[in-house]
Amino acid sequence: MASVIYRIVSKQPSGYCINSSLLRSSSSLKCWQRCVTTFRTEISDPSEHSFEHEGQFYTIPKKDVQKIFMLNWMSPHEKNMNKMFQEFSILIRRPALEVMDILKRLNYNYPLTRFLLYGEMNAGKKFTMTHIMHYCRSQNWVLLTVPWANEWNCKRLDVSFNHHKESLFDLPVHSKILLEDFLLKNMSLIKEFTTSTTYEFSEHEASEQGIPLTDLISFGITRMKFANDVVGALLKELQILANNDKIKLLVTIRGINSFWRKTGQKKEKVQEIHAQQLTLVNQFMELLQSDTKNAVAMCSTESWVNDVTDRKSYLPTELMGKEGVDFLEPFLPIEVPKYGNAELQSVMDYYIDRRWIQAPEAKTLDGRAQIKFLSGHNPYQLYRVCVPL
Amino acid sequence: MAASIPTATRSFIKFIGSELWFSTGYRTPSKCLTRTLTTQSVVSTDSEVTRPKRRAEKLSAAMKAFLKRAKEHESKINKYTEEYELGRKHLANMMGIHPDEMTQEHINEAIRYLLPSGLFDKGSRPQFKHPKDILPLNFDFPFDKAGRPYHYQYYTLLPNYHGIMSEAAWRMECLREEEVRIGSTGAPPQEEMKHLSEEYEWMDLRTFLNYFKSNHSEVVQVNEHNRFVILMTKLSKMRLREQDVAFLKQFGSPKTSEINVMDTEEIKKFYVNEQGRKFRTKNGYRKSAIAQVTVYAEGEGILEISGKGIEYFESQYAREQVLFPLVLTSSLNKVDVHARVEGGGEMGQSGAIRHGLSNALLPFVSQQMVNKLSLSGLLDRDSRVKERNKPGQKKARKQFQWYELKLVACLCLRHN
Repeated sequence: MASVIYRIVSKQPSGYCINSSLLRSSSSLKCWQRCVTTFRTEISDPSEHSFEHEGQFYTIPKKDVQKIFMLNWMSPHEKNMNKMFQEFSILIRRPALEVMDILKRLNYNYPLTRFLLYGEMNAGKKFTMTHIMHYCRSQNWVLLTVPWANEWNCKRLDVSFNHHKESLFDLPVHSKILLEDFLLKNMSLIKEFTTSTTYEFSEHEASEQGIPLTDLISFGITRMKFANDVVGALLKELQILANNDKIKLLVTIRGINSFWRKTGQKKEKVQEIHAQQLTLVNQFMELLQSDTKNAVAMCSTESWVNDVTDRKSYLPTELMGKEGVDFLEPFLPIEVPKYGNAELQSVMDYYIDRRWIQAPEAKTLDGRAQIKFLSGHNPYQLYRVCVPL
Repeated sequence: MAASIPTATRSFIKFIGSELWFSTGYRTPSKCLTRTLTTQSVVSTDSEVTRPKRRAEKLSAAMKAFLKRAKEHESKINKYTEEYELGRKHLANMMGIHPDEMTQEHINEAIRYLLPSGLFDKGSRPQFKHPKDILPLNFDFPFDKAGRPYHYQYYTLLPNYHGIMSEAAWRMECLREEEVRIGSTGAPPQEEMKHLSEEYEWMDLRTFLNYFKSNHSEVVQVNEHNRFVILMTKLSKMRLREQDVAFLKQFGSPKTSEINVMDTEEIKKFYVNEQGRKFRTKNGYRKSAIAQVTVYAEGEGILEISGKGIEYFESQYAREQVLFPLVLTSSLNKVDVHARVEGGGEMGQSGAIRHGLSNALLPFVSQQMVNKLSLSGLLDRDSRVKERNKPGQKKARKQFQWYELKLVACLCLRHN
């Protein structure tokens, strides 16, 4: 154990720093050996993060936040936090580090690898995905995100019939949002590429070979009628580009277990629609089962997708059902656990630093033990417990 | 830590005299704590009085008065001893025992038989004792031959009282200096310093007056007692060394002894596991919920409610109900809790667990905390139950809507 010199600040009680560092217990040995009271790193490049930085916060620079996350990915809760704390910083946790470790060593000549994140409600799956997306963006990957797949299953949506196949249903608005999002994120990376074949959307309108991809996408944005077809075309183009070693693709789908549920809509108020009858779902399922190289898919099963009464289980077999597991196999399951003791302490340090916890009794060891008890090691519950403090 | 000044130094002081007394003018705390605070036993008076005045030592007026009082005291004692001896022989004669073989127990029995009294206070019943047990034999000379008093607070007229008060004040100064030194330099303390774990109760007025009257023959007032209590409570709230704790224990004791609300053996029962862990199970009730709670001592802080952790309860209020007894007894991370709940709703179940928890924690907790728990009402079953529905009303309190038409209809009917 390294010897440490402490400089005692007059206002704090003398034994505070020592006790807080000794009480931290974590899964990895390196956390134990680190006897200094830090909860932050200054390394904002996620490719340099390693298991030494586990349990620490790092801030995402503002440019990246605005480019990647601000539009569609961040929920109003997270946007509020960003406003309050004047920064967007994430805890570095073990599942994210494991995934990044695997990504660094993958042989990208093999077909698509599928990760499946699962965990209890509010355990932090979304933040691990943000961490991995930030890492991939630093490596100049193309990001294709579906922030919440259950949106396609809501009631009272604009649904139109598909032109090519009668049994499938289109979602023009959502596909338009997808395309806009994609364009804004990956503008700089797609400038050079062009389409490889012609796509016929209807008798009169078709896109030719050799058009830049951006034109294709903007066509889809302006003509909402054909937006869904444009999405399909875009996915095929991305597959071709990835197979030719020109780009690396990251597909993130949050809430993939909504693919095997009934939507809340009815065709002509009579016939129920299942999610398998939506074109978007079919397109993404094709992409996930394809043999593209240089591509990685990151999916998560969420128990938010189900009704309020059905939210007790969080295991993927129960949420996705047999169909889903058979479809996705083989995949790499990654569990996102609740906070360990060391992570709890560093989160509370962060809240105190950002003045989220202000009551003086909450900063003592007894107060922290009580907060830990009440939150039940759940990240979101910890946030809610600290609200009145 | 008070050391008595040996006789050699005392004689030294006598001959040096005034120089030494005035040189040690402003006393620092460390020096004061090593001073003597005991009075000396008296030298025989007769030898001093009858010695011829060779060195031109004149006795002051105060000294003369003192000697006179001492003489009277002695004569009184001698008189009482003679009476006592006489009475003792008569009693022995009456009882038929030899006076040499008669003990105090025989005398007590005889007095109880001859002069029975139903007085509640045993001190005011008739007694027959040797005057040395009742009156103070040693009539102390609190000053030396030249008339200089030994006690440094003699001229306050209540030297022992003021001696105790000033010692307490000097101890407080010492402790404050230590705290300042620790805080500014960061060095560890020289001796072990701890806060008192329990609140102390100081001597009440009667024992206080008695203490000074019997030991030092000083008459103290109510004001002095108030000041004494205030000072002692102030001192007891600081971080104390062992010597300070020993000093305080002369005048007070922990607060447990007076009110023992629950002191039965049932409370302290616990069982021992196969693995050697102590545990206790108790049922808790609230509305229509029943909870069976087992508490294992020497634990880590594990909580289990019907197979799940504290996520069994979704609302923060329910979780705080489970937290509260653990925080009161400060046993959050020292105790394992396993519970099984049935019936009722979320709030009822959490209340039942709270009831069972606080009952199950009792043997692993101090007596003072048991009193606290029982006075706070955590150990009682909450008797609030859903009120019954009544006929003529919709629910327990809610009534049917009041119509005016009814009245009019009644009046019409009457007219008809």
